Amino acid sequence: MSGYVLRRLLGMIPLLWAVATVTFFLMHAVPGGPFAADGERLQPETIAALEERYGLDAGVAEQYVRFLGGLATGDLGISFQQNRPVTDVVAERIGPTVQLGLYAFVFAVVVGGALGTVSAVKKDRWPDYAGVAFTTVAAGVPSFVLAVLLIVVFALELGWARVLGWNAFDPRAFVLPTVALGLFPAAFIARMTRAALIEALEQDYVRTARAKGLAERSVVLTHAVRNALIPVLTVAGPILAGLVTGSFIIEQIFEVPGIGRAFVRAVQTRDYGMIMGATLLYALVIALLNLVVDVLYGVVDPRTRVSAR
Amino acid sequence: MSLSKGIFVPVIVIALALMAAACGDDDATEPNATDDTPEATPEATEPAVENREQRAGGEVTVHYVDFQSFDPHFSGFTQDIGHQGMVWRGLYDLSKDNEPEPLMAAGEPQVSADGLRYTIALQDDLVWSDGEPLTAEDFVAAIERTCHFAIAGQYRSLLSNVVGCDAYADPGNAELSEAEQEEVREAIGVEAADETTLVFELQQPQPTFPLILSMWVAWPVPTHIVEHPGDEWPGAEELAFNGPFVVEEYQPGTQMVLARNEEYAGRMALLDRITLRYVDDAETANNAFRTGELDMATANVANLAALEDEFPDELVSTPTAATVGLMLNLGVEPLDQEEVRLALAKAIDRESLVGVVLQGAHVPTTDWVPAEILDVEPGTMDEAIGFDPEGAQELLAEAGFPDGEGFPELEIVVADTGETRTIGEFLQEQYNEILGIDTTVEVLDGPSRAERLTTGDFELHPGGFAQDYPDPENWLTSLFHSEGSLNFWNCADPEIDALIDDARYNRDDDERRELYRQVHELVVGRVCGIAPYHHMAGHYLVSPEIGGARELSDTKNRVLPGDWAVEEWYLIQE
Repeated sequence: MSGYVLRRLLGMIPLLWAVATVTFFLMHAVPGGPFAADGERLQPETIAALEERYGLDAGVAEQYVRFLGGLATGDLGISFQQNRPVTDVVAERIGPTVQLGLYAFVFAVVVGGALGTVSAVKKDRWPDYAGVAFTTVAAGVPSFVLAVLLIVVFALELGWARVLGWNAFDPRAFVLPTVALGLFPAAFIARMTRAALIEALEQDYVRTARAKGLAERSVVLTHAVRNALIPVLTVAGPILAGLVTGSFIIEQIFEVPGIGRAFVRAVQTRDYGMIMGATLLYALVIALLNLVVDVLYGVVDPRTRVSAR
Repeated sequence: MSLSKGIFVPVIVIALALMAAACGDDDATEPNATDDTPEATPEATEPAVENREQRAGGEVTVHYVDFQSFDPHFSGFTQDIGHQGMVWRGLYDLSKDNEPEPLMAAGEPQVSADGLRYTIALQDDLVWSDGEPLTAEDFVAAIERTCHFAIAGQYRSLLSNVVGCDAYADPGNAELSEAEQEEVREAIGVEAADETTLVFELQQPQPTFPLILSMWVAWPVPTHIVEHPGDEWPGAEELAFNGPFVVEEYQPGTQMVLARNEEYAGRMALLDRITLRYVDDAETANNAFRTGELDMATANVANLAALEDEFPDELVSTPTAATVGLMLNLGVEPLDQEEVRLALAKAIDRESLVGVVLQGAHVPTTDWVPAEILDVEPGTMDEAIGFDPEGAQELLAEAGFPDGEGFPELEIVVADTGETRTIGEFLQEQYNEILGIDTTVEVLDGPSRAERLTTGDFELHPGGFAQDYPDPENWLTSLFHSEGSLNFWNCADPEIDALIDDARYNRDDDERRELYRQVHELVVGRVCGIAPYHHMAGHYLVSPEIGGARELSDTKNRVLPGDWAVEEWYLIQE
């Protein structure tokens, strides 16, 4: 197993290099640079001095080589927007982004799993219909619309939540962004859980368990749900990766000081260093989480263990 | 200069704010300052706000935008200067009437007979917030730092007239030995004659020099912390300050907490503490204002009409020192013909544009330089370029394009913002309807649009300019002189050049201003690059419990009303 993990980790190096290279050249191919707009108010020699200060006076190829050299030593360069090392900005902002992603993931798994389980167990009865209706609506409402609705109802009308900022320990600050980000994957997980559990509940081993006189709760939770978890787990990794790396809009709306907000601004202002830093971070997160999921398969389903292959 | 990026000094006022008129809603409560009310020091400047009904001390939380750099000698962005102006101040400070008044300086400068040497005495016993003495050397270091080749001060050009500044800024100096660099530094025309006396040497007489000394490029450096002019600027919590507040706490991307500086040499701040909460989105900030999380916020202009109904007492609107117009590239045919440019300028229905299309968010105008800066009545250029469809048609016919026949299709390059895009479409429709000419609208994102403008790769472009300092010089010289560094529209008019050359270093202030009025008349009357259509306005939401902000809201606003003099903000007595 450890050899497998090591191979996968080593495989990430060419992956990150490829992501870095494509992003670097795409970014430089887009018209306008970090100081293009400054040219409207600054003397040309000041622009030249700024470009020299940030190493933008060199050719793109030279900048690329310099960037790779820095990357190899963990130096992502300077954020032109914030005038300090990208690594500092990333380190500062990764916390809220990861917290938000994890909270939304836990919300999605708990709410989606519970809804899906109830729907499956009460198949074709009103709890199932209600669950399916809820997940259909939740899957159809874009997160930015939901975020605004939540703010209007729970912050502006009821005064139960705050509009600004992020605090992982203050429910007034974290509940709304968590729900806004996590509801869509919750609906997805609910539908998957429902389908998988319905199928599991029709299997022979479940019938056998019931015939042995096991309590229904035990049949469902101990036997059926565990098997139904495998397809859910298959999508859990990408969902978590998506939540951690895809919270741009929610971070913007709730003013969460995370990577997503910085990334959006970096793209708007051609903050090359920050764009590269955030892109590589996202690529790394996705690659790592995929690895984690692959390892977890083995835990949940021994048939997929690497050693057994 | 173009207003779409929205975050530099000249521009931010626009993207973030946009205000309207309204000030002066002074709910009269009895003055009831207690003994705790901070008192002005004996050297304090005159109060900008009289009869304050303030409550002693208190704290407010306001909407702001995180800075990009906290180094005043490098910065060029409005939110940066806004932060810095709360914690640092210069030898002079602008009054409500835009006059430079002594602040750290003990009085007016002594100017030599040839106008080239300025000698300035500092107040006695100035100290930094950490108790260290604030001396003339700290002001010398400010000039040296702004002019330093490694700092690349974004507004270094404001100090170009100081002897040796440009030479020190040359990036090639990085290749010199330390001794040689020191030689170049020593040649800069600024020195401390003693601990409290500064001497500046200028290349040309410059009547606006004290005004320049009130700006961030000349705010002092705490040399006991930043020892060399090229050193890295420390973090916000590691510095010493000489302004009305000090940095108590800074959380990047989240907030900065400022506390009153008890060592400030000017009028002591009235509030104990100000928290600057960083919010990117105006609608989010407005929601936070609704829930009481913010006491002051920039208004979401897209929602202005609704805000007027919802917050009739809280909405504060103020014209800014920013003008927007249609930029015309004189290097492109047929825009090289004055008649064509005049026709395009006269075919703009400014009242409809601002009143209907922009929902009254700004102030229609035909002036490029705001009338108060030029010291004239507003509307002096109405006859020259005001809305006149028939006149526009005649001019186009005179230029050889009757009813638009034979007129080439021109491209209007616009920034990808709702407002600018709408303006582009409005102009497109008007030109077709009134002049019978076709245009296309090319929508570009901020940096791409800026590159097209600065490289002269455009025909028509709705854009603008916001002033750096309140003098016509700032509005005209770099933009309309044929050799001006910001003359992207190829204005090359010998008469304009000659007038600017005469005005630039003219020591007779009345004569200088008169010359600039003539420049303005020619620039607008000949549409030498820009046909103005509106002055920007800033719109803010201000809690009725806050005083000082409304009264001081003017063209010097950076991000919030009156934030150029935050020491005057106070809580109103209940």
